[in-house]
Amino acid sequence: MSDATAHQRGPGVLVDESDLNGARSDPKQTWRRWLRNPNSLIGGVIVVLVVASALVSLVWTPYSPLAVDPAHALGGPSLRHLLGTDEYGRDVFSRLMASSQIALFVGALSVLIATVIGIPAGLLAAQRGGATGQVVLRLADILYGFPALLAAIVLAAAFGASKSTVVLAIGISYIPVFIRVTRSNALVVLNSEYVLAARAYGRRPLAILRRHVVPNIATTIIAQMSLLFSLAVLAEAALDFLGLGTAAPAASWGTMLQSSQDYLGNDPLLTVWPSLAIVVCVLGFSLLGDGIGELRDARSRR
Amino acid sequence: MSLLHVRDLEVTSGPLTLVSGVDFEVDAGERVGLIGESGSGKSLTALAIMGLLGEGLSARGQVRFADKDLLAMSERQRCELRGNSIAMIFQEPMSALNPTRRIGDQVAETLRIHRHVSRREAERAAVGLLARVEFAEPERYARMYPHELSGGQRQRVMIASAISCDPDVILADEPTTALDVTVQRRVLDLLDRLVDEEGCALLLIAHDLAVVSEVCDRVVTMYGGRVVESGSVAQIIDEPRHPYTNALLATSKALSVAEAASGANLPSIPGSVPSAGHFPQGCPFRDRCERSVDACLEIPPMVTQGERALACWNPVGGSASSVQGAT
Amino acid sequence: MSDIVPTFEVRGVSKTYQPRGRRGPSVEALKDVSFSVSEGDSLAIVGESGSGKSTLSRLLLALEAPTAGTVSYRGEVISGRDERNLRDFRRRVQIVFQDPMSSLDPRMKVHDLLAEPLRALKLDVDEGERVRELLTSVEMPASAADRYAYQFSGGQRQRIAIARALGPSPEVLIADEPVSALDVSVRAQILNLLTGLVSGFNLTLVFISHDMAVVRHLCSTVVVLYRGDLVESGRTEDLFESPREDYTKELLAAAPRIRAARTAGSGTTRGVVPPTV
Repeated sequence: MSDATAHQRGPGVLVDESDLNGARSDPKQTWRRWLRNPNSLIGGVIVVLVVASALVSLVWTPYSPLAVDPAHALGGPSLRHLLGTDEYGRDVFSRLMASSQIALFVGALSVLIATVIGIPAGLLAAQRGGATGQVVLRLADILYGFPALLAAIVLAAAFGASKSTVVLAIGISYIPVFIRVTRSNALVVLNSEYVLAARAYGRRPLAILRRHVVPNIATTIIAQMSLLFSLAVLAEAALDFLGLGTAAPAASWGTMLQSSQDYLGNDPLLTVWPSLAIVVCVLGFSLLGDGIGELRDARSRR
Repeated sequence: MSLLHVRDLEVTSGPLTLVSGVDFEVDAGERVGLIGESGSGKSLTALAIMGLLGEGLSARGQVRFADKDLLAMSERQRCELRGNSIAMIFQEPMSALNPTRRIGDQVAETLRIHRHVSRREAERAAVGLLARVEFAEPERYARMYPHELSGGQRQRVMIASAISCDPDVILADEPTTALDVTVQRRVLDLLDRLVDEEGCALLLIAHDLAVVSEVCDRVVTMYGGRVVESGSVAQIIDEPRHPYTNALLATSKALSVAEAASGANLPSIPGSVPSAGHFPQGCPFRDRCERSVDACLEIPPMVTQGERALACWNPVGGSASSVQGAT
Repeated sequence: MSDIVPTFEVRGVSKTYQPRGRRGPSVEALKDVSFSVSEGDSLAIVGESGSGKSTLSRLLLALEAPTAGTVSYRGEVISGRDERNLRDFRRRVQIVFQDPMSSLDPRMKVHDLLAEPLRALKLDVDEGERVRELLTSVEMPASAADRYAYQFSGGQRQRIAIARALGPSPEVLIADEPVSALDVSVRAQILNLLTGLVSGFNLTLVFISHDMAVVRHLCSTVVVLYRGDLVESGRTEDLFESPREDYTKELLAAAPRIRAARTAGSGTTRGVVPPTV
């Protein structure tokens, strides 16, 4: 049916190309929307920068983060040391870069632990409901009672403080979040009419989870992951600051902040750099999470 | 003497034109039905009249109410009129009522705002209003919350609120669309009776010609954001001239309870309603119309003759020069 | 010759829902409902909200089990049957829902939406070809397969929903208010389409609606539900010409009619039942 025959419609095809509204292919639209949304744009850029910093620091930093140079200790920003040096003469900028490795490592691994356990549990609770659902929810409640700090202290006491205990502590404390978010979102999908339709043409429960529930809750869960990633970075820095995580001389924003306290009088800038790094990193992942959430809302509004 | 005169109303959302060139009048005490389907712009027209357009939407043109232009007024002046001289009833009573406040309070609210009566007086008046909208135990219902009522009951509460300050005109936006058929009958009859008692004008927005024909004196048909035809109910029903009105009427008649099944196919309009703002160039009905001609690439002017108005190059029943058709 | 086994037989079916948290009264959605549907028939189930019609549709599809009574398909009891033994039944009985937006997975392309039933029922067909056939039968262009449901209008989405239902070549089509959410001008199109498909594929139709006018045009038999009770049933024309029950009369009287002039005041017909608040 070409436009020339727009007046007449053939008996066979009642609907033709010109009737289809807003037919733009999906992926292109998503990209454009991503760039237009300030949250996802800024968040995305920050995250990319942090990841790049971590990756680059694996092979190169201006100076070794552990290289001591007492002669130049507590030097302010200069051409040789962009952000100055700390109390041992170590280059702050290099240490900042290297710290991003730990931040990302802890963030990624703790979110991984939380999702690997939390998401299936949430799906199980949503689909089975009844007694099974109640048991899962109560387990989540129990885990809620163990904030990361408490868990970190316990683990540190038992196994000695390290990156791993921090990961474990944060990861476990986030499991209940994913259980609840997954469960409530999955319930919405499971109660939808298209799932009812799927049951009516014989789809089994597991296939329904795979084909309908997961794709429809994915964006929300990913947004949640990004948000919790940012919180994990913050928690990690806090635990390191308290001495319950990475130990000196390894570079992490938390330990940098911890040691810079003693030199507040001599070189206040030393506290600023790691703080800024933490804030920017947390902001980045947080904005990204918000952006993903907003994009999802825009899509479902249609 | 027209109470409400909408002149050249245009509603836009950024680059999209959603409503354009809308022109119609409502006289005092008159009942006008605004008929259209989704995307016709009828709800936006009502919201524009009330000054309740959402974000990103802007209105141009004139809406003369009594002596003033509603569009040119300050928001404060409009607030004075809303609920007072101009009342509105919405389609979804559940979202229009505050779920955390009792029914009696919500009905009394308009009275307290515009009549400045004391709380006790307003409560008493609210109970009286609930009785007028056929609640058998108005005091009991005044104390209830919206979620305790059925859809039809909530709509009656909205009507009570609308008539509370003796409005000059009531705008009812699809008040019965979301209701079951027996409940719809009840609410329509009630609205009919109350509008009579109050002597106010009614602008009823609907997609059902039958509903409009039962309750209204005049019909204004909208399609693709424009008014395409208007006239008295009798004129439109007996002699529709715009092809869209004609087709709508044919479908409504065929799908009527009073009509036995003929076994033949139902008359239908091919294609689908274009999404808001994406109308074809020229007459918005052009590519679904069986009477469309080359001239239709240009928007037809609205031709008025007495009570009737028509915007069509090739209307049903004769040349465009005579709005009244072949008499 | 023995009696012909009806396609559907509903016997003494009741469905009671227990409220969550075990507090408050239980809801009796259906009370002792019995009727049958013959092959090739087009039956209307008429009712308003609270009548139990949605519950009944779920029972007919064996998506829920009745609290009492049985639902049989071609002589075999399907109510309460294990899901594993229902695959054949699921292929033969398909449903179209009221809201084409919520009954189509927003994340799937039309091709997948139409192919899913074929995959779920493990039918041995060429997916691509079948999808093309289905789109043609609902008068949609083949290019629709690459798009998403939200890119179409309401009427077009309903066509997609109908195409999906036809995929497994069912014998029975249950349509739950398929046109109630559509514009008037589109309603007739979809009804015409349904009529054509029902006769073209020799389908038995169970049409659920609150709209008596649509029912009159489409169906030969009617059952009327009110608050879980089956109040009246019979041939469509008999019901419309001489309804027996008060509720049926009220339903018929309540439908708005096209009048060339309004009778002043409350000239519109009033229902028989007095105001019940």
